[in-house]
Amino acid sequence: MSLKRITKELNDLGRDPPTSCSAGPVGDDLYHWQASIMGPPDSPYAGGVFFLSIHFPTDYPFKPPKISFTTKIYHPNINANGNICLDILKDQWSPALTISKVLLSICSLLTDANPDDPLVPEIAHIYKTDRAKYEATAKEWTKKYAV
Amino acid sequence: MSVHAKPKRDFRRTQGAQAAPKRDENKGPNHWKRTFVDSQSSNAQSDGTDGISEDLKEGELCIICADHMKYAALSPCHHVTCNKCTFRQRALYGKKTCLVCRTDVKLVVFTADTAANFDDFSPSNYVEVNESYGVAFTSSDVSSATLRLLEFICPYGDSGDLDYGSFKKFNAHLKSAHNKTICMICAQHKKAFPSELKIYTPNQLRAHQSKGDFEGFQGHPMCGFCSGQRFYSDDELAVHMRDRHERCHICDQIDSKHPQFFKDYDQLFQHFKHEHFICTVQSCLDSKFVVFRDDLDLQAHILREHGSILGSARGGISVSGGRRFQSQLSTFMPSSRGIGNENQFDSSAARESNSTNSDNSREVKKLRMEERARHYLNYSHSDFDSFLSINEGYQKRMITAEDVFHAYQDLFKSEEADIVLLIYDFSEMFPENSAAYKDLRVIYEREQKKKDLQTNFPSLSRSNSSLLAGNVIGGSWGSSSSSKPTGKYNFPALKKPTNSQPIFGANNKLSYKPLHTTASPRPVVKKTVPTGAANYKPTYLEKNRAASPSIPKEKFPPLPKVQTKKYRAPPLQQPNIPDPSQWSKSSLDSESESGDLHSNNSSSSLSSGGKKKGKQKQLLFHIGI
Repeated sequence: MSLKRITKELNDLGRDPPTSCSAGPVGDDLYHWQASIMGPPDSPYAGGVFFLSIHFPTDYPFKPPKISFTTKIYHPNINANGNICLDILKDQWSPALTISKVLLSICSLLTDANPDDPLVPEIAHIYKTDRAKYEATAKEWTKKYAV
Repeated sequence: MSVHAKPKRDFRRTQGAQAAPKRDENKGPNHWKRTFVDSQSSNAQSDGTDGISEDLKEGELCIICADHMKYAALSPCHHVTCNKCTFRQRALYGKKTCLVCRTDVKLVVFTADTAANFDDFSPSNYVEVNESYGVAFTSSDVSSATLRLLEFICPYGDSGDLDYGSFKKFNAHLKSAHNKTICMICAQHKKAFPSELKIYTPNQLRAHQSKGDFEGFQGHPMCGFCSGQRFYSDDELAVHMRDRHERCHICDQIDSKHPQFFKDYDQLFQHFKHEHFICTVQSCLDSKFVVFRDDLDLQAHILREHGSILGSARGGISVSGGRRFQSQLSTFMPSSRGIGNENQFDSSAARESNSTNSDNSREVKKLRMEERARHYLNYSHSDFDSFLSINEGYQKRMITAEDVFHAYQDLFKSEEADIVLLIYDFSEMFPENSAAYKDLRVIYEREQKKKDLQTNFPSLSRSNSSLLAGNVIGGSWGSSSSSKPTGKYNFPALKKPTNSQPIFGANNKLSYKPLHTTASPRPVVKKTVPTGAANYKPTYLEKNRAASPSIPKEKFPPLPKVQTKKYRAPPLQQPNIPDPSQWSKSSLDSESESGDLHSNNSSSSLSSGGKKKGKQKQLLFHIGI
């Protein structure tokens, strides 16, 4: 069941790639993909290229894919292991969502962080109290790890 | 699964007679199932659907499983899936939510007309309604095909259409009659219809569970502590590990990517003793988990929590001394401790190197460059191919670095395309001392310089103006300060403005964190305002004010207002009061504003209780005025 759906998503991605992100299988294993996101221009991540790894569970799409950043990124909702705190990857997952839509959601998470539901409270605190410092650090990390 | 088995069995009782003849309807196109079905007479139909599904058009595919949609499930929110997907959601996952929009849906319609709409049907069209799953069927075909999905029927056909009613009984039959079995872990967790489960020989089952037997499945993971107990997936295993075993939280702090698990607290305690720094005071031993990452933390804990023991009998000292002695005696302890500490660094270093590996290895760099190029080219395949051919040409040294640069310029028309960055990326593809690398670097540096000049011009002009302003400030201030040596905290402010822009910025950060974001010179001005002579500043402040509106963008509206208040502060007439009070509110919200601002606000809005010297001074001024 899942293989057909994953194959279809892959074909759709090839036919109509979303702007500023891309995704595809790492090797022969269709259940393990690598994706990339261009840092949104109106964010401190502008200019960076961020890589993510995607693992599809065998129950996909009834269970959400496991997505994590492999590029280090300074963000209140993304921790040092690259785990992403995003509701649609957990309890708000819908089987109708696709990788392409999820990647776009992650893009918008980069533009608008959600410091009220943080994965890294320290960054969320700085984000809320000293936005300029947050942006400076995020830019620095982007330059260091993603450019 | 037995939970689902019950309702299903009830079904069979009500539906049995109807369902029996439709046996082959629900043979899905799953290839593995076919292998079993092939032996039966019903394979023709399933083969037929298989063939069709290969060249189906988009509209006929279920958006969830991407399979051929023979029967449609229509929801009142106008979302359509195949009957299997929606039925899986409602019967196996036990959720009544729409698969697409997550709306709770009481009743969905299952129909053979895949192009139909939910509104096309009224209750009078329903042939049958199943209350427990909230499904209405428009024909008996759909109903039997759907409900049949839940039946446990032996695919080898020896028991006819007998429904075994549960995975357990079904498996028992397979074992006794065919010496085969299904995977009971999958049966419990996979949320698969009985007919979708593979049937294994004992050997196949072992392979399935230990290393997986189809793409994307690596077998059911095993708990290393619970003698071969396997779990459906890593998620279920993680829950088990969390609930039944102990995880070392200190190792987690050091490297959260590789959690360390222990069978129980005793084993964890041994690990604490050998790898970390445990507090050996009895009360702490009793309360468990009192363990530290390094000696320093432990000492701090002992001083804080057990200060009395330390003070009373020096026993505490001997405690820590004993530990140290111990650690020096046994070769294992210090080494392990060393390892622990190294781990700490190692892990951070490893993370660093990992990330540098993952972020800066040549392959990743290449990927990144290509990704960037693709993005700049708007994911056009033909343009990307020409990009690759340019690079190839250079790699073979058929064209020069200069040619590459011009070719890039021709190729990347998009405004956001940063060709210089691409040149940089491309240069990284070559070894650092190669000519190819150096040539590209020459261009990169040249263009970077150009770019710097360009980008610096605006900033230069800005800094000029601010320098000018600074000079003006400095000039006016110099004179005023010379006349008034009393202003102590004005001095630092004075020095900084005259220097340069960045320092302005730094200055802002220090004193005006929330406010400062964009424009810098103003805060300094403010500082000068309250303290200096009231007559002096207004003139120079006005200049600044004139300059300021153009620069501030986002958070600056607040600032100019503050200034205006300041100016108005001297007059301080009743009409002015309303404004300041608004201001004081907003300034209270962003409490971390500088004391100067605060004093201004409060002084201007007489209402707020004066606490600071500055206010009092100003009040005095007002009185004087």
